[in-house]
Amino acid sequence: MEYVLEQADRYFARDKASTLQSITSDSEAVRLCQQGNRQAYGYLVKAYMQRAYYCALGIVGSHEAALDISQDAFVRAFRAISRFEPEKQFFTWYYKILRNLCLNFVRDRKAHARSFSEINDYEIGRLSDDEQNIDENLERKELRAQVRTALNSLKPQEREIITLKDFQDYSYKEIADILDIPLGTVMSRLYNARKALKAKLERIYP
Amino acid sequence: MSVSVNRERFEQLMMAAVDGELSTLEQREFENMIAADELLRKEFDEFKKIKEVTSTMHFASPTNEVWDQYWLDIYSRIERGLAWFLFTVGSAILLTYVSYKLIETILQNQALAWTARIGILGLLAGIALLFVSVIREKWYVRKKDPYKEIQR
Repeated sequence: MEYVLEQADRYFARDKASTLQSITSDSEAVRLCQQGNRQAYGYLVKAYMQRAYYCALGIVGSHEAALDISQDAFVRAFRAISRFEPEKQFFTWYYKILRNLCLNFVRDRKAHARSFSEINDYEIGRLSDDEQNIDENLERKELRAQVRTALNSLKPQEREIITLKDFQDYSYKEIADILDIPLGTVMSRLYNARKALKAKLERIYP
Repeated sequence: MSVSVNRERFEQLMMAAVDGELSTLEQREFENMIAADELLRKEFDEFKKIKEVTSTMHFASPTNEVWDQYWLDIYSRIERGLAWFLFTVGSAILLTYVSYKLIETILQNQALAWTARIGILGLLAGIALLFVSVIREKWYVRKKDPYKEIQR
């Protein structure tokens, strides 16, 4: 009996590995998922999990919530994958699900009167080698801490676009695709978000 | 009208300039704009300062274990979703069958007084009706409520 279980285990392990190794593109993985291959979905999840997590973190601001929501969005996307057209960008489609879940989360949290700043996982960036001066380091550290506070107090949509551009380093074209908005709107939204951030900082640094 | 159009154009070009996404033509257009107006140049400098700070910030990175576990958690959730679906369908079939058998037994049980039989049947019918009514209401509200997005 043990031998049979061991052989079955090996067989399935090999099957999983060969499924993932044989996939070379998102569209191929999507097609396999649509045929009911759950292992193929692992290819898509592994390709986009970090992006998904950081995008969620940019909106909800908490590690646990970002992890849970990004995973929930993957589960929902899998359940609806039969409706997805493989020629389109998987992440763009997935992001819509993720974004709705994040905004619902923020709305519900707001209803429960919890402050965003109570639970945030922004981290101040490491200081570079050329920042040797202690005073300058402290000043920059302080400034970044203030920016973090100001970011926390922005609207989720404002935080989202700043996160996509400055923290995730997406190009305008990529942001336009992800949010499904024209390029000009990306720039306008970014302007408004940064303007709001500037206003918050001016309150801190008059 | 043209002032607001120019202002909007300036804001868009300024963002592209801050993020280094200007084309050569746009670069020239933007430089002309800030050369002609000191206030616009000042505003541009302020936005550049903000970008300098935000671009050095990053999110806290989760541990490798988090990423190792990530797909396994999703796989389990997908599997559990299927399990819950089968569990619900199975329970519904079983409940219907048990209810049918119960009613059949009550109706065929001659030892039970007819008033007790009517009472039990009425009770069961009431529970079933309440159950269907609640399910229908929930379903209707979920589908039709125009205010479902509004926090109550």
